[in-house]
Amino acid sequence: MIRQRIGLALYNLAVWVVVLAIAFPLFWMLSTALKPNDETFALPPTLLPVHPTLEQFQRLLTETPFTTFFVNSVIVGLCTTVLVVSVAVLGAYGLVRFRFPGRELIAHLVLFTYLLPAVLLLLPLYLIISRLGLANSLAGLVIAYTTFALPFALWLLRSFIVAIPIDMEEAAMVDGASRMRAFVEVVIPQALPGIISTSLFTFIMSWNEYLYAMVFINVDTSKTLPPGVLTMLNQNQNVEWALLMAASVLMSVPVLVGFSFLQSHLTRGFGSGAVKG
Amino acid sequence: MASVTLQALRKRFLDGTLALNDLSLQIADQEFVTFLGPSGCGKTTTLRMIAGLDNPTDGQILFGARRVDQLTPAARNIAMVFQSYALYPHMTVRRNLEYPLRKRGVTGKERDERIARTAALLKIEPLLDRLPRQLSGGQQQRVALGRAMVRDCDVFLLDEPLSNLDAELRAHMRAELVQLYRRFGHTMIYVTHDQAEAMTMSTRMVVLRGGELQQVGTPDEVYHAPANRFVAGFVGSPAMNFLPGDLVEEAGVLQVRTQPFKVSLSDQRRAELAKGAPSVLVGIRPEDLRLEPGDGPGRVVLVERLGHESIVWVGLGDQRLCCRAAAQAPLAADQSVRFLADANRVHIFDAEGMRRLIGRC
Repeated sequence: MIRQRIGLALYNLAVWVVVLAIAFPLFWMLSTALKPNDETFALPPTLLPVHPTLEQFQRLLTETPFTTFFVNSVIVGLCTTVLVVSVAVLGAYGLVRFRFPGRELIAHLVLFTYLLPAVLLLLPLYLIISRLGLANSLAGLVIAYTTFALPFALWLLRSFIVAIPIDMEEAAMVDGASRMRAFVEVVIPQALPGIISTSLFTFIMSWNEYLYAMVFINVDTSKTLPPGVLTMLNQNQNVEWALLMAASVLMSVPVLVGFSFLQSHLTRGFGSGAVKG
Repeated sequence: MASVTLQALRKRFLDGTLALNDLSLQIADQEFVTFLGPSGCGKTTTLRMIAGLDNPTDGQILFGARRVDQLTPAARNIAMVFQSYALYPHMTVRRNLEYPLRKRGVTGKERDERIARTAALLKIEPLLDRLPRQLSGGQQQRVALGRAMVRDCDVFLLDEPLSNLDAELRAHMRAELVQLYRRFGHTMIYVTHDQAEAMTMSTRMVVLRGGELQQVGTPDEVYHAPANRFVAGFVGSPAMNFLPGDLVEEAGVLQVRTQPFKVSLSDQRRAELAKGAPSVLVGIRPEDLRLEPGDGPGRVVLVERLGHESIVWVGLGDQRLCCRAAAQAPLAADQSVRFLADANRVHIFDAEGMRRLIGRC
């Protein structure tokens, strides 16, 4: 009994160490963002701001092009997500439900493209995007992100759609629905947890992506957050850490909010108990 | 409602498997026909082709005079109950029942009335606002039936709808289905591998094996005059016993001789006997084979006492024969027994068991 309790206590301790190790940088980011400039480098450092202030956020939103970068990131993230998920859900359904020669080969080739390092595709993609006249545009970024988010999204959704019993779709067709209506009214609701997780994955990938955004966009008006914030802060010789932390906090907000709203959908399985056998 | 005609229906899958070979069948309007057979016999494939979920490789399907094999499932006006029930898990029971009506453009008030009527009939009114995952297997089964019954259809298809229920519920639902059929008189096509369901529910049975039609007939015909060894062995539980035998004429009487017993055929039965080789396969059902304790070729292996009767397994060389006996039959393991058979109850097939040679028992 005592050994069991000690074991449980040690286990809890280990879990808390890991949680704190992961959470501390986030806490430090928030704490620094709320400190005035002179407190950022105070020695000894203060864990919580002694004089908490929103000054850094105010400066960020009024004196820097942060809002432009933010809006650009939102546009690129949403457009990429909608495009990728729309194509992937239809593609995954086709790969799962239709029998045609080379079906498995196509599925594996799609995954193969995902295995190539992103940096390898950077130059060829840049050339293609430039020739299309889309360099320095958000549309160019959306296309580039789609090329490497789509294969993974396709495979992720494929595994969700495989798990949906075909009987339900067939029942809908017998009940009078066309295949497309059965897809929309029966398959999509079943695949919702998969669609949401794929959307989150795609959005976060697009939101955090730095390399392509850095190479493809050279004008400030079209920059997204990761390269935008970095270049903005590099313009001054000394890095303003408090401002950088405030930017980091605001960059984390959409992902955190989105995730907390959608996480219940990720774990909720509509399908359980609906089909026997 | 409509009759269903299958004309030379054939289905070959992409991998080359011949799932159904040249099936022709006429199902009358308001008939309850059961497709019976082991796994892979083509019964579900046939049902799916009638539903429009699979396309036939060759042949035609007609509902009444209307050819339907090129139509989508939606255009065929059928209702189907799936083995898995296939309820829409994100919709409540009410919305599940509503779905086929909405698809057929049934308006609000009529829709509500039909749902209420169907729910009352199947006693699922208290479940209308629940999700399928909140229902037991039996309740889900009722909802699946309700979804099929809620609208008027030409043909009602059921794909092993009771196979996921426990034995008690299955027997109950079997009786309810028959009552529903009598009440509504739909043309019903029912697929099952359970011969008890086929025997008790249908007006006619279609026995299939390996994509080939074996026999079509009333349950009584199939049981008492099975067309071949397969049907004879598949229908009936415990299964029929088979023994190699010979037809021997002795003093003007035709005898059927097997190792454990011999019987003399009456003139009437002899007249029914098709001509063939003297070597035959003799079948006898467990209830038609009697055992007598005493010096004989058989040795009792096991006596299963079921309360109302006993099932007795008797060793005969390498073979085991099964007999039904009275509940308190004075038989025990290792006892020697003689076999007695009624000449009017033996089934005679050709030596390969491919063809029945004598009339019904």
